[in-house]
Amino acid sequence: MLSDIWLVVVKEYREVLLRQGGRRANILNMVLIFAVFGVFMPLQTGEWWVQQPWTPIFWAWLPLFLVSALVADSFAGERERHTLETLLTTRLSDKAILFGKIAAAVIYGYGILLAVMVVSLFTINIAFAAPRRLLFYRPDVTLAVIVFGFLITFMVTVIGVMISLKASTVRQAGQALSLGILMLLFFPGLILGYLYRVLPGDTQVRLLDFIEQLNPSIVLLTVALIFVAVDAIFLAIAMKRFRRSRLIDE
Amino acid sequence: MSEIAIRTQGLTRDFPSVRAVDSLDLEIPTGVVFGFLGPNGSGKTTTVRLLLGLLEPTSGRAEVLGHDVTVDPQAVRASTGALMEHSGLYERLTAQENLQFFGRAAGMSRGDVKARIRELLEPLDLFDRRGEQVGTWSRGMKQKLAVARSLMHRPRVVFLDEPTAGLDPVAAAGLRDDLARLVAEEGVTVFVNTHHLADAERLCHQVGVVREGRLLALGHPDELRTAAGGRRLEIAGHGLGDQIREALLAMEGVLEVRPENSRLLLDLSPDVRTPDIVRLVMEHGGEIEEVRRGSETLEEAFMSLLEGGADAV
Repeated sequence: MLSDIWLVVVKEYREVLLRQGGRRANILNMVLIFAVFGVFMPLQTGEWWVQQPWTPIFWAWLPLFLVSALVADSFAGERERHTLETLLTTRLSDKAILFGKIAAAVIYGYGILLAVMVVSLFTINIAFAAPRRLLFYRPDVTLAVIVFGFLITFMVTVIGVMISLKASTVRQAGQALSLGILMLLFFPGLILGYLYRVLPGDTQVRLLDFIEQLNPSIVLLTVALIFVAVDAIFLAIAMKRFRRSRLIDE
Repeated sequence: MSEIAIRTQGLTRDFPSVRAVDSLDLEIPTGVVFGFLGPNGSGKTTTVRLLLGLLEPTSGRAEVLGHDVTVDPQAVRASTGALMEHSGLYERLTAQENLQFFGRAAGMSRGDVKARIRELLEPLDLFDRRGEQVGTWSRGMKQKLAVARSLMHRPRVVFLDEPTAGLDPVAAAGLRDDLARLVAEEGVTVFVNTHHLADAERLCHQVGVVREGRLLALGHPDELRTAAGGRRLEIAGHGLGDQIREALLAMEGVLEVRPENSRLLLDLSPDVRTPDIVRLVMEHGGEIEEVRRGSETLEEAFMSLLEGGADAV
């Protein structure tokens, strides 16, 4: 099963490297990502890049954009290029195909996220570190990036794969996924903001007091667990939706 | 090994607006090339999808190499190869990468994949071009590669859905020859969907004619020709006038007599003897120079089956 999943992952990478524009253009894209997020932005931000606690929020959304193109292509691309049916005629199990597609996108998005994080650390140390003093991310920030980076990448990937399973073209899948990502980014904030505003004044004060008293570690752990639960639910839905007969019928 | 490679019993598949496959009963022995003939939309592709376990039947059952397609579809797919309506090749990958992927997906070892690529591509004159991106190839070359891919893991049954569709006549003839040779060498059972009668004539030991999901006829191409249209006789000579035509038409088993230049073309039922025809012509003053036996082409048999509203078998 694992070797089958890995086989699908490798096939996905070969195809991605050679998608529109060819190998050179895609390597250039990668270089651009590292140049912007690993060099330019840390240089602009300075030491704060590794010291301030908002870094995880910045890093966590990066994979959303990195994986979106890959997952939109996962099934809709195969359908568009008439390779899906042949893939389904192979011995590969439903799970191997589905998990292979998901793993390819997660490894890609999450891998780049971690690699950019390391490159930016080098940039900061080369540009701003005093002699005999290394700058490093705060441990809690590092942990938050590693955990939330993975959970968010996984969630977006699974949502993207579900959209791609249903979409008839890559373009359609890409548009639907972009809309989904925007909703994911802004909807929770808008809802919470609206709910806060409709609360009576004294309740708002009590709520703010309550939030101030919360232990940040407990809050982060709770949010992480919520993400794990949501990821598990989405994965279960994706597994249920992945049926060869349904893919052929559609 | 099962004597029967493919068996269907009352296999039926309904879609919301149409019954694509209607009570299909088939028994295809191992080692034969079976041609499934029918016009577009007659249910051929749906049948292959059902046999590969890609679609679930509405009713009835099907077995491939003894595996029930609804109970154990993965076992069916592990022992079969398929070339569906489209070549299904990854055009951004090279020919070698395509075959490597599908070989590994079938559970072959790296060494076996490497050897098999050479074994399959060399006779197809594609081995030297295995490092090229498939997207740059002609349609004929892609179809050849897709056939090689379907045979990659040495399947015992291969499904080919319109393998020569969209090819020019030269490429189609070339692919038919390659297919015939590969099939003979590999000794596989082949289920080939086609509406190109040349494919069936060249490749198939047994054919089934299907229309609107129902099987109209089943048998060897020669049997179908005979069953559909009987025999033909062509008589060339002099004095083959109306009197002889009328006498022939009055004879039992003579279905039609058509004059054409100095010849008569006769459609006969299978039980009519040629010497009786010759004797009758001579008794009525006809001078015979040549008598040639013939039969309907498979295409004519196919058309008459489709147009004649034959009952399903």
